[in-house]
Amino acid sequence: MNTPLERLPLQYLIATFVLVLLPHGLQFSPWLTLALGALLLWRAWISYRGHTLPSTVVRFLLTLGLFALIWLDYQSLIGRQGGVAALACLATVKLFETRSQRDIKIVSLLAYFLVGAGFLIAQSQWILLWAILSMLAITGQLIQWQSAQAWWALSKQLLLMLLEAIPIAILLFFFFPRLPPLWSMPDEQVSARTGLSDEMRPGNFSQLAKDHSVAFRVEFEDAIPKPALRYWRGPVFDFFDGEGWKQPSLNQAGGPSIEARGPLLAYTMTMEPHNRNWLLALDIPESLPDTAMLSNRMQVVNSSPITERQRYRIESLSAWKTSSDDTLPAALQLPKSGNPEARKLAASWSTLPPIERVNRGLQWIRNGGYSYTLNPPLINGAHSIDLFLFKYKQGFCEHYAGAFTFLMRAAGVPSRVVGGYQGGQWNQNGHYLIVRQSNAHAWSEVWLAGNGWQRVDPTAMVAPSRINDGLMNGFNNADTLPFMDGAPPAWLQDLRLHWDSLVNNWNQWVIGYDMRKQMQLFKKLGIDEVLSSEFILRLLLAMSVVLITLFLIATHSAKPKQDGASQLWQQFCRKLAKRGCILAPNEGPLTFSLRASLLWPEYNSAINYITQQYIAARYGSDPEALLKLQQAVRHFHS
Amino acid sequence: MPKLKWLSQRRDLWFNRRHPSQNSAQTLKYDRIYILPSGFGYAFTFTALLVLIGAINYQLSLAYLFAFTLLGLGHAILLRTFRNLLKLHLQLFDAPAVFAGETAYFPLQLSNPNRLAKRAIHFYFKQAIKPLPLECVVIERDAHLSIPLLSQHRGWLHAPTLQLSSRYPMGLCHAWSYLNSPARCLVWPHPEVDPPPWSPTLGGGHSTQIGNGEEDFAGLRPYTPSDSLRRIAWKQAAHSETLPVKFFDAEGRSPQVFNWDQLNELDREAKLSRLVAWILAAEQMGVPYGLALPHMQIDAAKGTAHQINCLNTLALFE
Repeated sequence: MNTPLERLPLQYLIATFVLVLLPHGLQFSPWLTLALGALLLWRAWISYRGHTLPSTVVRFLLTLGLFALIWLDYQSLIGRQGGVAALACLATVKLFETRSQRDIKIVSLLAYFLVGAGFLIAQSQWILLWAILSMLAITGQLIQWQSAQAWWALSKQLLLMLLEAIPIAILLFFFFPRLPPLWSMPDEQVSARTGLSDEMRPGNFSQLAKDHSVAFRVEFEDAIPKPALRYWRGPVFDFFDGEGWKQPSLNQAGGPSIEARGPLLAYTMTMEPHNRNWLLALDIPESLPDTAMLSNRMQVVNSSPITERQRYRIESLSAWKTSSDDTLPAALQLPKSGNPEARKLAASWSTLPPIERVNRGLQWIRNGGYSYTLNPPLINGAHSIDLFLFKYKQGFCEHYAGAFTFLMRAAGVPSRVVGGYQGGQWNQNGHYLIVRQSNAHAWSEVWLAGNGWQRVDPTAMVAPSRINDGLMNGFNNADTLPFMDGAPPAWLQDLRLHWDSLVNNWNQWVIGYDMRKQMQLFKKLGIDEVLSSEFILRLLLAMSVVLITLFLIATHSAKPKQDGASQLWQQFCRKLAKRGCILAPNEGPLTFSLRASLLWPEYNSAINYITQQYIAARYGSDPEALLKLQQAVRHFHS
Repeated sequence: MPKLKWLSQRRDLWFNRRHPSQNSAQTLKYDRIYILPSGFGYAFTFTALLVLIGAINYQLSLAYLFAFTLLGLGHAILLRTFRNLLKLHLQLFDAPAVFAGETAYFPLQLSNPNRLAKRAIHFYFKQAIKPLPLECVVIERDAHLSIPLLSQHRGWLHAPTLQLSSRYPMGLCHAWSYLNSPARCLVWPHPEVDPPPWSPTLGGGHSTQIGNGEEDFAGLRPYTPSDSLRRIAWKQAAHSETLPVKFFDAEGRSPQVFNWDQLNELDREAKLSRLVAWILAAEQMGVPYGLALPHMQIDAAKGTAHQINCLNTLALFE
């Protein structure tokens, strides 16, 4: 037990640990990451120089220090973030207590678990790739402890083992019953992800415009709406505090009654997680997923935040009318003071009928010399609307939606700002629409007697092509958009779409594989009940087939490869055997050839030559001996 | 108790039938290899299950996949551990004779018919008093090992069941098998330490004139109380633990026959020990020696073959 551990496998272990902690470290606070990195460097140095390991007291203090860092970050040592960090720290400190093989095994098991915890960070292909690599690295260093091998032989063995593991993994992945959570995990503040926020502050949307990650994907059941009609409604910003627009509490009932004026549009959304509990839907949704409800501001609200990718089906109205609404007073709210110029302008319209006031507002924006830009000047302060409307006249959708809504409220028309996404890219390969964060958009809604809430998009006044053709076309000058967005070459766009449909399939069948998907698959396979004896029997059968196949492959593919020289020698022996000189089991090549040449002195030289070449090819280093042997054996006639 | 005894008898019967003793090389076949998870194997499975529980609780589909890949990997390792012993050819040979109390080494010949090298296999005798596991690091084609076994009593030492085991590649599983073989080792009686010198008069009738003449120096032998002080080799004594005494040709060459019946004061094993010690001393001094045992007589002679013959006779003395 107490023999000192070898240095090389120990260094493999430390290197493996660096790999395992890499994605976790990117999640931790910089100080914690630096501390762990420094500890690993120190450990490598100790191993490299053959120093003694620090004492128990030092290890204890290290643990305390690391835990303090975690506590500062997460105020917790358990759960999704604090727990993983604590585990990473414990495992790192345990690296300083590697006296025996047993310690190595404990550290390795901790490392396997940390790899599994990596999926809490994200469920992406990259994390999966990292997890597989880390798993192989941990396994490889464990093998090194048992029997040291060259790295290429080890890599080959590891890859073969992975290949053998995959059929079992796939079978279990699809057929192991998917269960609901066994117990509820401690409630946690989930880290923010990109996406719409619950308030609209200057800069929010222009920030999102530069983010090309996918927000959601949509498959339409029949008709696909025109680009200009693809308004994905999200949070409703109803409260203006003078600088930003806020979303009121979501769980209020008492919404308007909705009347359909057009056909229903059915579609399925695959929503990326955004950690908010709203879902997005096209305009006014009619039928909703079970876990969701419609708020009094006609927003789809889920019972819990969307922390995992979700698929849901929705039917939306393309034309509608609403009436009897409790939210109208809130839709006229304005701060007591601020933006006097805008109020004055709005007041000048207040005698007109409401629909006229709306038109005046839109006309003002269309004709007022405004421009649409991704990099607007930063406008802050109590009079931000005035500054935008009358001084800078440059803005992104958030500025237009905010200013327009302000004008409408000041003019006495109930109105509000709606956040969401507009447009989307059609993927011909997968027949679905991709909506990215860069499609984030803000517009207004006004309440008009007789029609109820209707959409008004002031941005369309300044940049109509933004609405019709997408973001890239909204700007006149080349604003700083990342390279992918300035119209990329067609082949690149095509490649991107192919890739995205691949990603989509992966998302739906691997990452999004859940109880529902499993039932769907079982139905397709003709299995009605998971616990039916028929199913279990079939599953066991499939499992046995896989296991037996693997067993046969593992145990039968191991025949030794005969080298060329041996084969040629045996060919030569068969030729001699025809003449009656049979190789005895205990006879070496030299004695055999001596016996043969005594029997047939006339072949003496040929037999000797072949024997020499055989010995040279088999045991010597002459690269041409094999060729010579081949020719000599071929020309030897018995 | 009789029931238990019957059970253990049945078990031994079953065991011996499964692992028959064969003189020729044996091959480890599927049904000869046993495999179970090791403690580490259980811990590994437990870790994979923990990942699975995490996957269920956080509804992480990829973590499911990872947990199952871990289990699959564990299975691949199980197969490799099994394969590491599979089809190994082994043959255990007779060990060269040793004196009782010494360690006998049984030559074990291993050959690997597979392309993949077999690694990290441990060998030891199952019923050995102090088993010394011997690791064979890697077997590419052929390997030779000597398996140690501590001998206790004179006579035939039959090689007990040889156990071979391996945890390669990762220590998750423990695979093992047994080899029963008729290999044996002749154990000579333990030579008595510091035996009294034989008195030449014990020569069994072949008493010869002991010359005091100093003309034919023939060698050295241990001191006996009857030796004259003049004959002690003082120079050599300085380098030796015993007191060497010079002896001379006339005495040295005179054949000695060590007679069993003259050692009546000792018990049987002690007699054998003393005879062995004398044989070794006589052979070393070059004195021809013989044995007079009950029912058996070995004429005086010299040489390794004669010595081994004498020792073998004593080892198997009934």
